[in-house]
Amino acid sequence: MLFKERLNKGQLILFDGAMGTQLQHYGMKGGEIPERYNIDNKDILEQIHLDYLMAGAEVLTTNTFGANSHKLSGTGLEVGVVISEAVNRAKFAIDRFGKKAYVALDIGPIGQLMEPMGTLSFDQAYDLVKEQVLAGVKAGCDLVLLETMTDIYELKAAILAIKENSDIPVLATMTFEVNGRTLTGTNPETMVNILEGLGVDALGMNCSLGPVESKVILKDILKYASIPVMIQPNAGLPQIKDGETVYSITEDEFVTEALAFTKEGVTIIGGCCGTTPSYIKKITSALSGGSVVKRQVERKTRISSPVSTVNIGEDFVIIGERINPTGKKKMKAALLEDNLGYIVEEAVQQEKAGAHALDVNVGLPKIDEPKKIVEVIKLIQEVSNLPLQIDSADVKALEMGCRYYNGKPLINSVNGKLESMEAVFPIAKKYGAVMIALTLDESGIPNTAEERFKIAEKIMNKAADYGIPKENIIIDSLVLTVSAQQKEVMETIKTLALVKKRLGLKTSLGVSNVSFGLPSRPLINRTFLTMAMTMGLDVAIINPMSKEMMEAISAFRVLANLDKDGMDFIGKFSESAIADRNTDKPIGEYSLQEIITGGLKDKSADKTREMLNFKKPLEIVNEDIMPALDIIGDGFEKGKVFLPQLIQSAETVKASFVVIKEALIASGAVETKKGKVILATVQGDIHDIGKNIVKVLMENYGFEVFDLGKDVAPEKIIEIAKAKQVDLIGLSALMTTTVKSMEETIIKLRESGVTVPVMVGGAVLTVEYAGMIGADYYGKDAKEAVSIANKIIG
Amino acid sequence: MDIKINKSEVLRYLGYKNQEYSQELDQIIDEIRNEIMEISNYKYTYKIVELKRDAEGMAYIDDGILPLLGENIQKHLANADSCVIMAATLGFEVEKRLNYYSKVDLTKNFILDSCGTQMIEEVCDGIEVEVKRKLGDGFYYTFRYSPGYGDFPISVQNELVRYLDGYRKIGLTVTASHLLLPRKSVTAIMGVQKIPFVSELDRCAACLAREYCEFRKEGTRCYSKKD
Repeated sequence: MLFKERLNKGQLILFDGAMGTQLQHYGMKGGEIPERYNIDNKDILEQIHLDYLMAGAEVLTTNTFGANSHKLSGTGLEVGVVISEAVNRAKFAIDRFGKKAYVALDIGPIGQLMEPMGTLSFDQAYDLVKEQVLAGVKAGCDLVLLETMTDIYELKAAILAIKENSDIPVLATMTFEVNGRTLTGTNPETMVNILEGLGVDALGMNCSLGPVESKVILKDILKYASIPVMIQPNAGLPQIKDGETVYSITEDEFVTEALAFTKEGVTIIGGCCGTTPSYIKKITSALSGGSVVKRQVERKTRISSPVSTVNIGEDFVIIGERINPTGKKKMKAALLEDNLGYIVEEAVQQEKAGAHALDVNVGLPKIDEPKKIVEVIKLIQEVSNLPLQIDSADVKALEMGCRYYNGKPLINSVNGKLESMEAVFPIAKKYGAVMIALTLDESGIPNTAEERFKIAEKIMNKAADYGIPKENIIIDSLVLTVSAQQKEVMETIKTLALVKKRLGLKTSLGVSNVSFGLPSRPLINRTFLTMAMTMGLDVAIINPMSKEMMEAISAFRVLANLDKDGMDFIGKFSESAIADRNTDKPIGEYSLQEIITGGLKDKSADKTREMLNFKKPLEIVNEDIMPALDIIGDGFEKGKVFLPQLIQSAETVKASFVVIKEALIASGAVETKKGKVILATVQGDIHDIGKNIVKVLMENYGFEVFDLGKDVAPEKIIEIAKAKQVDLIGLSALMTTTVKSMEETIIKLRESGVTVPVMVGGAVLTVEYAGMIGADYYGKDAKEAVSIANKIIG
Repeated sequence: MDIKINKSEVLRYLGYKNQEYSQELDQIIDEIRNEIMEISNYKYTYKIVELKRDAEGMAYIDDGILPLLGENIQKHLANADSCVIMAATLGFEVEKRLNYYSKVDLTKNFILDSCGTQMIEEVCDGIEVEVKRKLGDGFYYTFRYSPGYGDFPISVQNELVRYLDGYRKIGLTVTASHLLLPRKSVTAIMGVQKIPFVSELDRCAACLAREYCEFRKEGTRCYSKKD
């Protein structure tokens, strides 16, 4: 019987217990490579496997937890050899035992943090796991167990690597902390939502906690998972005794808890750290041959970021529409000029304003959309914990977006055209995405609600053919402009009511189009939104910065009994709440200079706007901003101002400049930059605070800065230096060990024919040291870096 | 472990030398001190292991799985009978927040970074207290010595984290250039001995940054005085 059939037979499945604990029992020391035992101590390995088989385990996990190229590098061991030997050990034990058992290829975490926190890219993670899986399949394993995972993004890469390179079942378990989240912040609901979407065969939890502490988390997993659930707890919480890790639970207690798990509906049970064959034996005698308890799982429409899940239909959901260049000049410019700061700001502001998810659309004629959408998604996921809606008319961009997105995505959109469904459904199926589906097809947008309803129904049925469940479809019945098609506006609302009632699907609308061409658009928009919400609209794609819309939603939530006892509403609109927001001294009482030298960041934009009423933009720059910056800069040089103050002032000026730039563009003036500067933290170094401070100060002084980030390869610097014809290259390194990398970067720059001056800075550098590694200038601090740039370029 | 983030130490990392600064900034510093306490899921792990001596009297542990390379670490452990090998981290969330602020608010980024540096030191202090309580009277301790310090190669970071099973136990990783991630993490070795510890090496003398150290120029040190 194939493992897949066995999994769905309705009978409990018993895995083995800990490998590491057993290896230590046979003499392995801390710091040794466990995988070496597959080759050098075959007897020990086979004995351990045999012990577990005799204890009643039906599935053996190979001794390959860390058998990836990254962890094995420098050990002289090869992934292919280790894995084939490991599978052989398990098979050999099974042969000796003489009864059928399955071999699970064990894959643990790679041991590197993923981008953007760490240095391991999604593709690298994918390749590492692919190598393991190919070796495992070749050696004849029956399934893969991904276990002790803490990062859902790494898990996603691993699952794709397995599913795209083999057809054996995948089981995935994560390890949780006492606070109910994994180390990187994923909670059970989010884990289930993402993993089920990716099509694993079973999921669950293992390690870190004992059976007692695992209970709450397990209950959550069982509540959400519609596929088999597995658990491999530790033998209690690890405790350090005489410098060694010991576990606190007896075999009998362990069995008691295991029994309780099966009553809750668990399908697979095994043990993790601290468990031994005798634990497994006790479990076997208590549970062997038992049936899986059936569970009722409510299926809901859920989208997830790595750390949070939005339940669509539970409360009204707001999707922020701002990250989309259509009709937005500034966003368009930001995308074309790689002005990532603006995109970040839009994401952060929308989240603050109350959006529950963010739309991401980067569609512009001159842009490589599949590439760009991945870049922007990664960028936003660095600063926001909200789920994202991947929005494109380009199928390739949708696919790339879904692949590299960390979480369970929402696709915007598919429609009733056969071509659209055939292109988008496979992507939605593969990545487990929820889709916004538009009620239009080959013959356009129908006039009546009945006809639009029929398209919705067609989409739902066709999706089912692809194995896409109906909770992954949200119907958008299309808002038309009232000034052009007044008769049809109500049809949109009628359609959504029909879709909800007859199909039980969730609904969404993009609202703002309705008022196009009319005066007082916000009034029309919020009235229309309220009408739609009353008929059961679940999601609105709107601008969360629009006070009118957000207020209408706040009021609706009270009236519709979503905001219980009106707590949110009162929190926002009570007199005291309003008074709290207005305690600050009015900006009129400060001069811009005081605002800058005082570092009052949230006041500078308004103040600058106020001043633009009676002063020209460049006059403000020269008469107010620059003198204030100089006061702070001089103070810093003389030790009267300390670094946080300098940074605060620089950021205050930055906010002013945003307003100045807008005014310049509006007046048709061209903004002139002093010169182009590259800034980068060199390869191998991950400290970027110093570089970021230099950046903001340089921008204040009018330089165009290309910030390449941290851990930057020399090749990247060379590429940008040539492409952008820069005037200066600034390199930063914090550690003595990475100054070496700085030297190598300078050598490579020169070899490639880049002759631009190089300035270096960093905690461990000196003028002499800078000279030694071939730098042209040494900037002792951010202020001096600006002076040097002024000297070279000014 | 009782962790409090000492404000004057944080100010020291921020480069504070009695300048006047605004109440707003002071508030931000206090906010961030609270914020890091809230988000940090700090974790630590350590092993107390016996030091063995080879024919030349060089210290080693567990057949050299964790190599004690370099003159400095050997001098440091010259009189030690055992040592505490430790690793501590403030966790993923602090790393993530640092990254967030680096894109959204540089002032807070810098302050959070300084609070993190101070906090991880305090976690390590806490480990020392725990070890000393556990071992009881009659022992003396060296200060904590980390890879990358003096001639103790930073590449030992990989072996050390593996030795402690640091990824699995506390989520600690080492980059290709041997830096710890999350950034706000520390690994160290502390000798345990029966005779009082007199450092044979001036901590600064062993430091590669001594020539240009801002702290030294001011007559202070980068480590706290109590060490």
